Parts: sequence; C-alpha cells; structure tokens
Amino acid sequence: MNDGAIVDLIVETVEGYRVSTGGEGGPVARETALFGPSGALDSLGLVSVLVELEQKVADRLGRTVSLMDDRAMSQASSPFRTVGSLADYLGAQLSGGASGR
Amino acid sequence: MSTGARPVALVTGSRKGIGRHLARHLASTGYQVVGCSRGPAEWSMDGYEHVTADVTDEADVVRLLAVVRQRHGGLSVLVNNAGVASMNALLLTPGTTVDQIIRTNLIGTILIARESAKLMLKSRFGRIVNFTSVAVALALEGEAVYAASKGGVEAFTRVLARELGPSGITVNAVGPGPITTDLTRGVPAPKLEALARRLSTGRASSFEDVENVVDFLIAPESGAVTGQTIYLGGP
Repeated sequence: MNDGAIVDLIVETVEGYRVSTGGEGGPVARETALFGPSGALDSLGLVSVLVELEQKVADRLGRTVSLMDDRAMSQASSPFRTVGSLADYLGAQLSGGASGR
Repeated sequence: MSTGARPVALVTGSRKGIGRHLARHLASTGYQVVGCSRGPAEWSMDGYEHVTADVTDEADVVRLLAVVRQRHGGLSVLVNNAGVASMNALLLTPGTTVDQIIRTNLIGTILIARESAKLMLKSRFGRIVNFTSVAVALALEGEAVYAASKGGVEAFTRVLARELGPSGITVNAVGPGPITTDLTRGVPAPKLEALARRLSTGRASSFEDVENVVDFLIAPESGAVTGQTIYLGGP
C-alpha cells in the first residue's frame, strides 16, 4: 500500500467518523490536523478513527497493526498530529513487516 | 448493538463452570454467543460457537476479537469470566503460581476488555461484565494473591467505566460468593461452608444468582449502571 493509498484510507475513515457522528468540518487532506484546537477530531474521535483504521488494515491487507502502542505514545512528536504524520506512521509499520503486537 | 439479527456476546472461560452456564443462558435467551477457553469445548448448542484462545496471550486475544468482528460484525456484551484460583497461604505460594493468577485474572481481563471495547466503540453501545470475588471484600486469609488479582479487576472496572462511559459502554463487576466449580475444587467443603456463613446471606452462591445479576447489568435499560461491583451474598 503506497503513501497515497494510506492517506486515502485515513481520509475515508475520518470522513466516515464525521458522518456517523453528525460532525462538521472542512475537507480532509494530508495536511489536516487530526486533534488539537483546530483538529478534525476530539479525543474520542481520534481513538475511534485509530481503531477503525486497524480494522480496515486487517480486513483489506490481512495485516495486524497496533497504532496505539508504546512506540506511538513515547514519541516526542505524536504521529497522530496530522493525516500525513499518521500516514507516515502507518506506512512505516506496514513496510517494516512488524505485526505491531 | 451489533449488526446481526441477534446481539453478540463474548463469554471467556466458557468451557466449564460459571462461564459455561452463562454462555448457555445467553444463547438460550437470544444472543449469538462466542465462547473461548484454552481448550476445545466439550459441549455445544444452537447460537453458540467456541474459539480456542488463551486470554493471557495478547496475539490470541487480538485474533479472537478479529474472529468475532469478521463473523458477526460487532459485539454488544462481554462476560469477562475466565479466571484461575490457587488457595494457599502466601508463604507457601510459588512465584510461578503468583504469575499465573495475575496473568489470567488481571492481565487477561484487561486485554479482553480492551479489544472488546474497540468493537463496541463504533456502535456506541456495549456492556462489559468483569468478575471479582467476595474474597476481596472479606480479605480472606489464604487467598492473598487471588484477592489481589481481583482487587485489581475492581479498580480496573471503575477506571474503565469512566473511560468508556461517553461511548455508551458500561463496565461493571460481579463478585460471586463461594460456588461449586472447578475453581473451588481443591477447597474442603467445611471451609466453603464457613466462608458462606461469613456472608450476609449465610449461604453459597448459585449459578442462577450470577445469571440474575449479569442479566441486569447487560440489559439495554442498564445504561446508567456503570463502575459498580456487586457482591453476591453480602459481604
């Protein structure tokens, strides 16, 4: 799965969450902030999106990844800042071949 | 609720004892039940399927909940029942036994709850019932490690109730009194009877007592009941 496909997957998931919760917001793209004052998601929304991403990766790629693991939580700069940083983090897990668990 | 016609319930430790009773009860009252244990089940019934999984193995737990999601699309109820006991004075308890009790009763409960909550999150509905014991409330001598593991489950229940409350997921714990299962097989009958007498009701618990509380806690109408520990028979 290349970077563009990963970004598309994240955008689809964020937009799906917004629709399911009746939320509003502008278009979602690689540079969109995921959380924070101008973020697209609240804390519950971020967790929901990460969980759904894990499930989509399992369904579509047959791979098990863990986005909310110790590595993510211990990084000085959170991989969940933007769609792009999350795509980089997910892409690294997928290309690394690690199960994540 | 889950997407299927029948709401889906996961019962851990369903091969025997309380877990088996509750799995059969839920399957007979309209749930699609997925049960698990480290070995295959020696029983079956309509509405029940068994998955072999070890709750202390994180990869196994992830695989188990993936099976639930892929076969049924979601999860409404978790009966987090799997547990082990070893009743012995602490000074005679080997480290391997301590490790096994904490891993199964506390870490297993946590791992199963975490992965189950992920499935419940999307539907904004879920009922998690953890299992503790009156051994915590009564500070039973000879059960230091077992009670410590269950005390951990109670603290975990209260905190998780806060974390998941905004998502429509309730988290409670039920603590049976002495009840005749494989877990209490090694305890002499007079000791179990003496323990029962220390409870307010003065009697042992029954499977039906547990079933009654679980029915209450998992009911859709019990959405305001969360973070609670209910001891059967007292303490």
